[in-house]
Amino acid sequence: MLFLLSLAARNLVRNLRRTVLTGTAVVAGVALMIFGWGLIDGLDDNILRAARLTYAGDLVLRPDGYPDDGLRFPLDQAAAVSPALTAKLDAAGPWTARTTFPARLVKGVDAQRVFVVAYDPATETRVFDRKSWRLEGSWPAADKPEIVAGSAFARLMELKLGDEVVLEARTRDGAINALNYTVVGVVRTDNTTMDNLSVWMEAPAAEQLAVLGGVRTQIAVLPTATPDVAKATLAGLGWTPLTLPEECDDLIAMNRIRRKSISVVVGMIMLIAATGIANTVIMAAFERIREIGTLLALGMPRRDVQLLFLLEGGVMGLVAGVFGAVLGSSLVLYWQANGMDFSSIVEKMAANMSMSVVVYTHFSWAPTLLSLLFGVVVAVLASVWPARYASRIVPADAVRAD
Amino acid sequence: MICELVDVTKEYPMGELKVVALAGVSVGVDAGEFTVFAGPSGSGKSTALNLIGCLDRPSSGKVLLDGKDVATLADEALGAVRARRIGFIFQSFNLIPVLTAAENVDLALRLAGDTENRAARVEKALVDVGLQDYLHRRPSQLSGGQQQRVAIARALVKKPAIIIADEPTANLDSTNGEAILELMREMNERDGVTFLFSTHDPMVMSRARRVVKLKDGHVVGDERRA
Ligand SMILES: Nc1ncnc2c1ncn2[C@@H]1O[C@H](COP(=O)(O)OP(=O)(O)OP(=O)(O)O)[C@@H](O)[C@H]1O
Ligand SMILES: [Mg+2]
Repeated sequence: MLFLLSLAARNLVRNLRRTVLTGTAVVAGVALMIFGWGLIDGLDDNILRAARLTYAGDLVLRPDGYPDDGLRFPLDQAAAVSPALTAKLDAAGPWTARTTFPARLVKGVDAQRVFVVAYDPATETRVFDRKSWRLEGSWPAADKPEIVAGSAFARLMELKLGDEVVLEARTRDGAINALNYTVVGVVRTDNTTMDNLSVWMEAPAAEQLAVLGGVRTQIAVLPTATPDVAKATLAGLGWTPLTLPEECDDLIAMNRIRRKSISVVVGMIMLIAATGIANTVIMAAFERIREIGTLLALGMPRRDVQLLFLLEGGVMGLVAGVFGAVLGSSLVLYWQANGMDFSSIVEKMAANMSMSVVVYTHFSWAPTLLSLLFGVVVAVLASVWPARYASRIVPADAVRAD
Repeated sequence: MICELVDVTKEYPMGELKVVALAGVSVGVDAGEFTVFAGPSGSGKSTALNLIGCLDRPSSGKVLLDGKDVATLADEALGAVRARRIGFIFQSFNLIPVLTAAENVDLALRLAGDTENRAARVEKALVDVGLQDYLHRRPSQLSGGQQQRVAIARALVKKPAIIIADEPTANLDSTNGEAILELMREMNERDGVTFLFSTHDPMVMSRARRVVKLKDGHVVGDERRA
């Protein structure tokens, strides 16, 4: 077996150019497979990360029946945080509550729809460390009419630090209210929804603008227990808890479709690779009829001849697979460390997605080894028929073939 | 008698027709012989050698090797007989191009399942054919004559019952051809190795100790010399 392996390897080296050309398709297929999976896994991570760091924590609660589409934030369905819930939340871990509601921002003659994100300055940073956010200027001072604008929204409205704007909003009982604010900061959270459509202010300021009466639209928790355990303790108090994966399931589902389309492309490349390998191995068998005849004449069993050609395909698959795996995981590891910045594309699409524009690919061993194995299996399978052909040669004729 | 064809016929299908390559041939080879099958092209020399060499099966008749009929053996068993009992020397040398001279010789021992003291025996076989300085050359780095010497070493190393050589000098110039034949003759005389070959070449025939003449698939002469 070891001898056959060495013979197979030498035969591959003997026709190096052809081997390399054939192997390239396997390299491409395996690399793409690893990179594609790393990217999709990265997107999954990214969706979860963006949600965790900007609005959800590890567990998010909304009033029962409150829409979670991220497009409407109806104030009339907001709810107060009851003392019973507060006690449970305090027991569960750090938490904070926000109120998000629609408003109109007017600057000079320009006006634009916007969502106000009102946060509780006392508890906000217990859940959101804001480390990944980039703030230009400062957060609003306590009890001052100051706001921070989302970065893309600020660009759209050409807001600059120190600009005076008016926010118009409906109060909870339906009256229209308008107040003056100073833009003191511009923040980029990398959650595109928030950066495109939000302005931020402290809860007391929002109380004045929309007369909230203390209602909240979402609560984010970083439970000390697992999110699932915390979810169970917080259920049934008028608010619906969702763990992070549940909260993001629609976006994750989109990724599952992307994963499938990558698999189709990889499958097609592998089919091309398989055809190439089958072709190379059958050519090798045709070229080496006399050699095969000699091996048979010297008494090599037919199954060993078959194995020799399977090994030629398999070794090619393995070597090319390793190259592909190294290439694919290098790309994944590089972008895992540096992140792929999609901001220009995403901003052009004005996409309304709760995900970060910087995607960190996600390396893991399982898909890497699986892709490598896949490359080898494809190569071996492609060699089955040529190997069988080679082993069926009649030695009496073959030893004289030229 | 080491090997014997007993009333052997061999037919090849050719479309609707059949080509009769051997039409009832009986001939035996004893240990220590240095025998040549001679005859015009198409007379059946190669066919007869293939049958004795267990590379093929007859259409009818018996092929006896060490007294046992091998004509009915299955492929794998026939392969095992070749690996252990038969040495081959081919017209076009047929060395494995990716293996060195020593590795080519070693391959024969490996396939014969004869693993004792392999390295030393391989080296000795190559020294015996005068290739002590070429052990680690690949066939492409050897001349035709040298390649055929490697082939002789490969056939000899496993001490087969018989060495079968189908036109071993046909691809060599006359000087190299004569040297190869001299080498085989020397091994025959010194070590009693049994050789059976085929040829068109009068020089080769003149060196043989027995000439079996074939024509149209029949034995038409069998001549022994001192
Ligand atoms: N595989 C085959 N298929 C069909 N016919 C064959 C085959 N091998 C040999 N023959 C035919 O059998 C006959 C004997 O052939 P063989 O090769 O034994 O002759 P030979 O004496 O070795 O001739 P040469 O001196 O040309 O090598 C020829 O007519 C040849 O055409
Ligand atoms: Mg012939």
